[in-house]
Formats: sequence, structure tokens, C-alpha cells
Amino acid sequence: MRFLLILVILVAAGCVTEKPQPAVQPIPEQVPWNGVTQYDYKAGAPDQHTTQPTENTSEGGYTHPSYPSLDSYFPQVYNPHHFEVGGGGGYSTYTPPIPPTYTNFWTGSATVTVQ
Amino acid sequence: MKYLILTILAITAIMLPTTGAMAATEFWTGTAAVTVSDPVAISNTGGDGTYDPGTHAWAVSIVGGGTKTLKMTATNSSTSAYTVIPSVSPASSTDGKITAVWSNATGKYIAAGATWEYTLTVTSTADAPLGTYGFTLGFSK
Repeated sequence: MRFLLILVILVAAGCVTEKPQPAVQPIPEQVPWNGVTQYDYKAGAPDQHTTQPTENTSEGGYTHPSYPSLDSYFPQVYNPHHFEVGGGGGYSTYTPPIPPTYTNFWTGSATVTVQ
Repeated sequence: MKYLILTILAITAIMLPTTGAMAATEFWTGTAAVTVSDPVAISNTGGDGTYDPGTHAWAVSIVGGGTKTLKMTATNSSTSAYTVIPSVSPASSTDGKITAVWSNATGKYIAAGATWEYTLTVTSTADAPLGTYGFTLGFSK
């Protein structure tokens, strides 16, 4: 009976301490540019430009490749799949496609003998 | 405690089927074996050296400054298209003198029912040290 009581208490404690998963995932330090081929922005000058991101970046860590002197063009990261790019007069937004996930389904090995 | 046991017994009794009215005699038995296979199969379709299809192990000898290849084909036997990505790790020996590179390394979109051949090219520099180098191969989709 004592064992049963302890078991019930343990199960009840597990149910109580189980917390729901947060609805919003935390923002990663590095934003994956994988799968992102281009982005647009309208802020500042010129009015619109399209380019290809060259590196992973986080907030404040990106310099526009075509305008390296315009260091005010910082991506403002609000979630992993949404970017606001801009500076000066304002920001524009771009939502890149979510990169698909791939699963390894075949493995093998290669043994190379140099002779 | 006694009340709890009685309650459990009562619930169990209620949930029991009325076997007397539904009794049936089994007159046929059989078995069913269902094999779920991957929709994309990888097979060896050529190249140098020897390839063991059982262990997916490729062994090849190479001379300094030489190049050897392994050809693997992905067959999509499903009704859906897949992007199949080959991988090799490491991409080179620690001194960089033996390199292994897949064709279509960023992936190839293979339509339903289609096939695609990938080529792994292993290259040795002329001054590569003699020895054996291991690589891990993979395919993702």
C-alpha cells in the first residue's frame, strides 16, 4: 500500500511538472542562409536592390556585399525564417523559404589505398 | 481499498465482450508479410576498384597523381519526386592530398520513376603519402 501511494505521488508529480512546449522557438544566434537565394530591401538608397547573401549572419553582423561602406544595412532578426533588412529610412521584409530537411537513408564507405 | 478493487472488477466486467453471443469458429488462417522498402534505392553501376553491395564498401587503389571513380545510381521507384544528396566525409585527407568529391554534391531532383547516376571522384596528388585513407559515404533525401 505504501509502495502504491509512493507510485501515485510520483506519477502525479510527473504530470504536474510536465510543462507545455513553448509556442515560439528561440531565435538562433546564427541565421541559416541555406536555401536563401536572394533577398530584397527597399530601405534607404537605392530604392530596391536584389543580391545574394554571402554569409551566415546574425543581427548587426552583416554588411551589404555590394555596398560594404553602408554598414547600416543590418538584418534585424525576429525569427529564423523572417528577415527585416534596412537602415536609415526604414526596413523592408523578406521571408525566405524554409529549407527542407534531408534524412540520410544510405551509408557506405570508401577505402582508398595510395600505392 | 476494498471499494477500489470492487470498482475495478466492476469496470472490467462491463468492458468484457459478451462472448457467449458472439462466439465464432476459426476455419482459415494465413499470414501476411509486409516489407516497407525505401522509395529510393542506391546501387553501384560502375567505376573502379571493388564494391561490396552487402556492406556498401568500396575499395580502390590509386597511384600518386591518379584519379579513380565510383558510380552509384539512385533509383526512385516511388510516385513522389525526391532531391537526393550524396555526401562524403571527410572531403579530403588531413594533408589535403587525397580528395573525394561527388558529382551533384548539392543534390539532384529525381522525378518519380527516374534514376540518376552520381560519380564519386577520388584524386591523389603526385606526392601523396602511401597509405590507406577511409571515407564515409552517404545519401540523403
